[in-house]
Amino acid sequence: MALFQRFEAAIDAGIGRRRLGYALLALIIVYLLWFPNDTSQSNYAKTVFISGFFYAIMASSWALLAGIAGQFSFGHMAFMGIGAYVAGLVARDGLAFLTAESISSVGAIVIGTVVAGLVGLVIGMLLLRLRAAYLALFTIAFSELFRIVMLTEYDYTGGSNGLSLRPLLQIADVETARQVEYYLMFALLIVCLLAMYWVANSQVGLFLRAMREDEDAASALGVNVVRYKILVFVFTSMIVGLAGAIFYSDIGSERIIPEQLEVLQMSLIIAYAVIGGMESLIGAAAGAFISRYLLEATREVVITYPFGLTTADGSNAFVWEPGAWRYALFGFVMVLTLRFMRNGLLYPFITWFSGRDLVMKETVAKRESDEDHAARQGADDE
Amino acid sequence: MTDAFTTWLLLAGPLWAVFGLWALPRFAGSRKVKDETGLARLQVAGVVGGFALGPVGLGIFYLQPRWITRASLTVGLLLAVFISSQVLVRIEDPNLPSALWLILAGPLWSVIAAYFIPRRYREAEADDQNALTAAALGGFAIGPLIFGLLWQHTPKISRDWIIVLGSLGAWQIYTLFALHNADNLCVAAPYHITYLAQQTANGVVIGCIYSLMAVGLTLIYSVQGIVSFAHGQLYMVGGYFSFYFLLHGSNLLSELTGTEISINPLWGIPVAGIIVFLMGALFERAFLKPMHEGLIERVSEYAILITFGFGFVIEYTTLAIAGPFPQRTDRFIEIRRFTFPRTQITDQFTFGPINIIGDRAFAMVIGILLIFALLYFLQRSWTGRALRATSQDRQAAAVTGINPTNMNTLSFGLGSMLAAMSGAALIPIFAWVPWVGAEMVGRSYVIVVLGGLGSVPGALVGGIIVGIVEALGAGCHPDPSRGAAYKEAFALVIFALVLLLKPTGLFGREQT
Repeated sequence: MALFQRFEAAIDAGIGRRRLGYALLALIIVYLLWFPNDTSQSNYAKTVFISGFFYAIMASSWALLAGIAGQFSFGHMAFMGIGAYVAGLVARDGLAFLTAESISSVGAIVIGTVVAGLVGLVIGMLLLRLRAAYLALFTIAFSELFRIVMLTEYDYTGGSNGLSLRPLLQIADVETARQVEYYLMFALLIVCLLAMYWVANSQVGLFLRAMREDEDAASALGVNVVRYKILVFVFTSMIVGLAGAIFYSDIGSERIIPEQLEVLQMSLIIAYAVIGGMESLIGAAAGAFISRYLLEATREVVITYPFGLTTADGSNAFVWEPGAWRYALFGFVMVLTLRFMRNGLLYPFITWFSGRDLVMKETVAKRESDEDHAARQGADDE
Repeated sequence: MTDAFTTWLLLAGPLWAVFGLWALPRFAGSRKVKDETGLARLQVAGVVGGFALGPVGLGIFYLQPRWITRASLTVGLLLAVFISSQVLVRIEDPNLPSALWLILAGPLWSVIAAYFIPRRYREAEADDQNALTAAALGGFAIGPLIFGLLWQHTPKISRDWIIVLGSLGAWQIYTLFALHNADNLCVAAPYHITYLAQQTANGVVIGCIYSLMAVGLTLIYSVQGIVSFAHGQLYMVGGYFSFYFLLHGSNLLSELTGTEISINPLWGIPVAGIIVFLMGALFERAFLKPMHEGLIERVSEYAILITFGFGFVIEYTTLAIAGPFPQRTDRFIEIRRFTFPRTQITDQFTFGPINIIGDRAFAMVIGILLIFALLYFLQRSWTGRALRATSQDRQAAAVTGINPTNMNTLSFGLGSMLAAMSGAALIPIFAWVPWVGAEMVGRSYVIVVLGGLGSVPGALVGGIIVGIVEALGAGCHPDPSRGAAYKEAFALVIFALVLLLKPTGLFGREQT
C-alpha cells in the first residue's frame, strides 16, 4: 500500500494523473487503430472487435438513458431493431414514392435512423406518465411486441431467418473488407461517444441528472422535464438506430434476426453497462467492449497441466468449454457489482485518473475539520 | 355513389366532427355563449353536426346557434347512427368498410375521445378517475356516440361502464375477424359456439395457473413496493426442481425397492416450492435487505436491476446445468372413461362439447387451491395479518411489534414460492426449456398490471381475463398460424393500454 502511495505521489508531482489518463487513453486508441494491421490476428478477432464496438455504443447510450437520465428503458434493442429493419426494408421495397433503386444504402440508413427517432418520440411521449418499474414494464412490452411482429410477418421481414440489409460497402477482398468495416465501426463509436459526451456534459446533462435525482424538485426549479425526457429518449433512440442500421448493413454476412431483440439480449446490454459503470459513458463503453472480448475469449478455455504432467492419452492440456457458465458467472459479477460497486468496476480507475478522488478526499477532510471546528466551538459555548 | 358515401363516412365524417369540435365553440361561441354548459353544448353540436351532415350541419349550427337544443342534437345523433348503419347495408363487399372503420376510425375516435372527455370531466369538476379509460374504450367501441353518453351529464364512471365498453370493443374485434375470413372457426356456423366455448374453457383453465404466478408477483409488490424481474426465472427453475426431484427420486426409490416406481408429479410442487422459497428468502436477505435499510441510493432503480440480475444468473446457470433440451415430466392423472365394452384411458375430461386436457384441469385445481390457501393464510393467520399490515403501513406495523425486515423476506420467499409452484404445476403440460420464464413472466406482468399491482383478487381476475384473451385471440385470428404466433401479443397490447390509460388497473389501490 505504501508503495502505491509513493507511486501516487510521484505521479502527482510529475506528469499529473489527468495527463497520465489522457496518455493511456491515447495509447489505447492508437492500439485499436493499429489492431487491424496486425497480421498475426485472425479475421475472427477483428469481427469480435467490431461487435465489441457495436455493443459499446449500445451500452453507453443505455448508460446515458438509464444511468444519467434515470429512464429505465428495456426497449433499447427494439430501437436498434427498428433502425436496422427499416433500413433493410426501405432498401429492398422502397418508400412511398421512392423506388428501391433510387435509395442508396446511406439513404436507407438515414431513413432507418430517422424512423427510430420518430418512434422514440412517440414512445417517449407515452412514457411521460410512467415512472420506474412501470416504465421498465412498458418498454419490455413494447420491445416484445416489436419482436413478435417482426417474427410473425415473415412475408416482409423474413421471420426467424432474418432480414439481410443492403451492404454499405462492396469490397470483394475479405481481408480489406474487414479492415474497412473495423475502421467504420470504430469511427462510429468515437463519434457517438463524443456526441453523447457533449450532451452529458452540457447544461442538458445537468438537467437530466437533476431529473434523475428528483423529478419534482427539478421541475419546481424550472427544468422543462417533459422536453428533456423526450429529448434524451429521441437522441438515444437515434443513436442506437444508426448503430443498428450500420452494423447490420456493414458486415455483409450478418442478418438482423428477431432473436436479437429478445429481452435476454437486452439484459446483456444492461449487464455490460452495469459492470462498466452506468453513470459514466466511457465506463459503460469500455465495460461492454471488455466483457464482450472476455466472453468471446473464454469460449474454449485450454488449461495446460503444470510440471509437464500428461494424461493417460498423452495430452498435456485440458480443454474446458464453459458454455452457459460464462454467462452465469457474468451475471453473478453483475449482481455483485450492483450491490457493492454501484458505479461499476471501472469507476475507481476513472476517478483516480480524473483526480476526482483527490477532490473528494479534500472535501471530506474539509467537512471533518469544519465539524471538529464546530464541535470545539460548541464546547466553548458551553 | 357507394364508394363516395363510404369514404365520406369513414374519413370525412370524423374529420368534420373534429373540425366542428374545434371550430364551433370558437366562432359561434364568441358571439353567443360565455358560460361552461353553453360551451360544452357547442362542442357537442360541433361533433354531432359535423359527423351527421358535415359542413352543412356545422353551417346550420353556426348561423342559428339557438337551434342547438337537446332535441336537435338527439336528432343529429340518430342521424349519425342511421348513416353509420347504412354503410353496412349499402356496400356490396362488406369486409372493407368495417375493417377500415375499426382500423382507422376506431382508434381515431378513441384518441379523440381520450383527449376531450377527461378535459370535460375536469371542467365540470366531476370525478375523472375513470374518464380516460372509458373515453378511450368507448371511442373505439362506439365511435362518436361516446360523446353523447358522457358529455352532457358527465356521469360517474364505475367499473361496470369500463367492462361494458371493453366488451363492446372486444365484440367489434370479433366482428372484424369474422368479416376478414368467413371460414374462420370462430364464426362459421354451426360449430362456432362449441369452438368459442372450448376456447374460453381453455382460457379459464390456463388463466388460473397464470394467476397463481401473478399472485406471487403482486404479493411481493404489495409488501415491498418493488416488481420482481426475476419472477419468470423462478417459475422456470421451479419446474426444473420438480423435474430433477422426480427423476432422481424415482430412480432412488426404484433402486431401493427393486421395483419400477415413479413418483407422481404432484409431489414435485411442494418440493420446488420449498427450495425456491429458500432461494428467494436468501436473495432477499443478501441483496434487498440493504435496500430497505437505506444503504443504497435510488432504491427503485436498484430494485429493478438487482432482481433482473438475479433472474439472469438463474437462467444461465440452469442453461449450463440442464442444457437447452426440452424436458417434461409424467402426467398428473389418467382418466378412465367408461364406455361399452371396455374402459378407455384418455387424458381428457369431457363436458358435453368441451374437452379439457386432464392435466390442465388438474393444474387449474391446484392453482385455485393454492390461491385460496394463500388467501386463508393472509386473512386468518397472525403472520398473514402481519404481512398485510406491513403492506398497508410499515411504520404502524413496526410499532405494533411486527418486524418489517422479516416480513420483507417472507413476502419475497412466498412470492418466489408461488412462481415455482406454478412452474412445477405446468411442467407436465409444457415442454420445459430454460427460457420458458421469459415468455411467462411477460404474461404475469400483464396480469398484475391489469388486475392492479398489489391486489390478490385482481391477479385472479386478471389471470382469467388474460387466459381467455389469449385463447380467443389465438383461436379466432383469421390466419391461424399468425394467430398462434401473436398469442402473447394480444395480452401485451392490453398491457400497454392498461399502463397508459389506467396504471392502477381494475382493482388497484390509488397511487399516492
